[in-house]
Amino acid sequence: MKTKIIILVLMSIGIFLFSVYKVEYPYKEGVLYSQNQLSRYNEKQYENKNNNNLVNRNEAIKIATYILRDILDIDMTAGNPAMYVDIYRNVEKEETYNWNIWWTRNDYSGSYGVEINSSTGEILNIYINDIMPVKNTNISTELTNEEILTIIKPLTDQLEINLDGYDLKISSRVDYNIKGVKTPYKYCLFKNKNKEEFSIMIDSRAEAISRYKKNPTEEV
Amino acid sequence: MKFWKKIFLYSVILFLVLFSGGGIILIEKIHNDNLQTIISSAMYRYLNIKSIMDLNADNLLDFDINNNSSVQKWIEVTINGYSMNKGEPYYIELYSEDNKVVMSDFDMYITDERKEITEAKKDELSFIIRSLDNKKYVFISSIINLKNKEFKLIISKDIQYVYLHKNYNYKFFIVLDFLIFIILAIGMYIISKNLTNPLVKLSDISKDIAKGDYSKRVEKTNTTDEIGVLENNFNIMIGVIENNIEELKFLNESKQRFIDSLNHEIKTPITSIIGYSDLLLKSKLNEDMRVKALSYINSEAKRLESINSTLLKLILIREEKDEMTNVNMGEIISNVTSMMDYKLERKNITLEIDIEDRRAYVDKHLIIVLISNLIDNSIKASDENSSIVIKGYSNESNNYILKIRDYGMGIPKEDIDKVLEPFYMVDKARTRKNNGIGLGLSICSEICKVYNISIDIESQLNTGTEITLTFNKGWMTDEN
Repeated sequence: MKTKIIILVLMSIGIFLFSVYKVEYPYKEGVLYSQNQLSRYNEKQYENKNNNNLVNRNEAIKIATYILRDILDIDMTAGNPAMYVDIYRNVEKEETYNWNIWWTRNDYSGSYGVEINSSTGEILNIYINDIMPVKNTNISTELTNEEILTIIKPLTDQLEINLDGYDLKISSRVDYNIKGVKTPYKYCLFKNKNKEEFSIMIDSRAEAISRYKKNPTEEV
Repeated sequence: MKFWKKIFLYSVILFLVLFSGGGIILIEKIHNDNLQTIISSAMYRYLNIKSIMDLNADNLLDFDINNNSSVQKWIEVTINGYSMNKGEPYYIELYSEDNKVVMSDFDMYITDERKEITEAKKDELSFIIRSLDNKKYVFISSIINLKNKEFKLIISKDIQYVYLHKNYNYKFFIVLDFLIFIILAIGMYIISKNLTNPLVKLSDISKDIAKGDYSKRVEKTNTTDEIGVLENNFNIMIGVIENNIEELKFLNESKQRFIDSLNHEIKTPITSIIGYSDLLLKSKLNEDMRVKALSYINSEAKRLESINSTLLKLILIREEKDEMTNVNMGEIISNVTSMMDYKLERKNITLEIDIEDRRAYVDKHLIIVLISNLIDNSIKASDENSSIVIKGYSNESNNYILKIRDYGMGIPKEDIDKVLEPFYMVDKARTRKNNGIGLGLSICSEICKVYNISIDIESQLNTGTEITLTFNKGWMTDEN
């Protein structure tokens, strides 16, 4: 019994001393430490995996301008719009930064913008909050699938999306958001076998794309 | 030091050492974790800023990289122009390759060597902690490349709250330690007192017992732990000691009575012999008186010889076991009763015998002495025309029971314990009249002791006596 107690006491002291030894005592002041001496720091977690393919600021602005002006036919001179550039980190993939470039008209009558992955240059989001020139005055006329595909083709071609591999689901919506004008929309959701998806919203009166979103987490 | 004080002190000291030691380790561990987290967070922030600088590097084309104010303007646009960089305050400093300030929004004066600048590395972040104006700051640095020119980028952050949190934890722990210490001290005082109280009582009682008061007992605590067992065992031990002491007292008294009786039994005939011999020597007696005196001297001398031979027999019985033989109990009873026939007839006593015939491996001679003594005593105690019953049978334990019952004068209750002692006579006059010397039952008792035969005497005055002999089954045998 006595031997057991002595062993127990010695073990307790051993565990205690081991714990004291194992505690990493705080860093001293005035001493320069390397990142390797910080066990909680893991640079790889935050490292940009596609550093070789960085889309920097000017490149991002060029891409956004091209998409809006040349593909979606937005008049980017109307209303003397001001350009804003921001950068944010992807919430789900923290290692990537996304550019958000948008223009707002001087009179705040409309805005449009593009979000671009800075690593891959991929277009993540296009949004156009504007009253577009009306091509189809009959509000009750529904756009056919063929008409819809014709409207979105220039954009999908530009984004190098092969629509053959995607299933299309179309629904109709009416929105009063822009200056209270009643605007009918077609909401198109594309999904392929690899569960990749994107959505496109079409202004039925203007017969033009008002929104594109890669991997929509919620309906637009 | 008292035992309860030892328990109290050791447990409290052990607690203080372990709890305080553990608490300090825990607080330092938490502080270290917090410090690591906050420094890591600052490093990730550094990487953010570096990434944003890289992403905006093309914008630097519009600025003159060799002009400090131009670079400062670029940084202003790059760092402060994005919503991401707003929020937690960080200080940014940019130094040239030769450690000259390009831009800095850190407005405190640092007196010690700026190792984070002079020893900055290209692909590795370094950090240093400094105290400035009673606050702690962490500085993170590395070498970055802008427009093919190397700069040293340093970001710094106020981390004083991590140290304040540690101080707060220490203050909280000291209060907690003190409170728990007080509660533990009170608790351990009560526990150690309660645990040792039975031992204190035990000690007090043992002192009383040492003074000779064997009637004291420990008040039991109704627990089954070691203390409860100790109390129980202590009481058992004292009970045994008390019984042994009572027995020793009784034995002592018996011995004293034996010496007194022996002295008396020897002195009485000697006195008679001296008296009659003096009379013969000093007086001129006629023939009748002379013969009478000589016959007294003769009878008293014979009595002395009888006492001597019987005592010798008693000693021999104690010291040796004689020849063991296989005997029949019925036969022994028959032999004894034939020996007693003339005595029975003289008093016209009826003998009723009911004996189960079993065989025993004993010393026949001694068993005959034992039974004949008992029957002889019964005859002596019985009145004329009465009866004596002898029964022999096996009980449920297969022991052999032999009962001898008479309906005579009986033994007074207070004498029952003493009748087996040598020379003890219930009715001395009657015993002497029958030429008894008071050694018959003592011899019986010694024979019983030698053969482990239990002897029980039940008697009631003027009603009779029943003596029960229980022969252990070990002595009984069914072999012829």
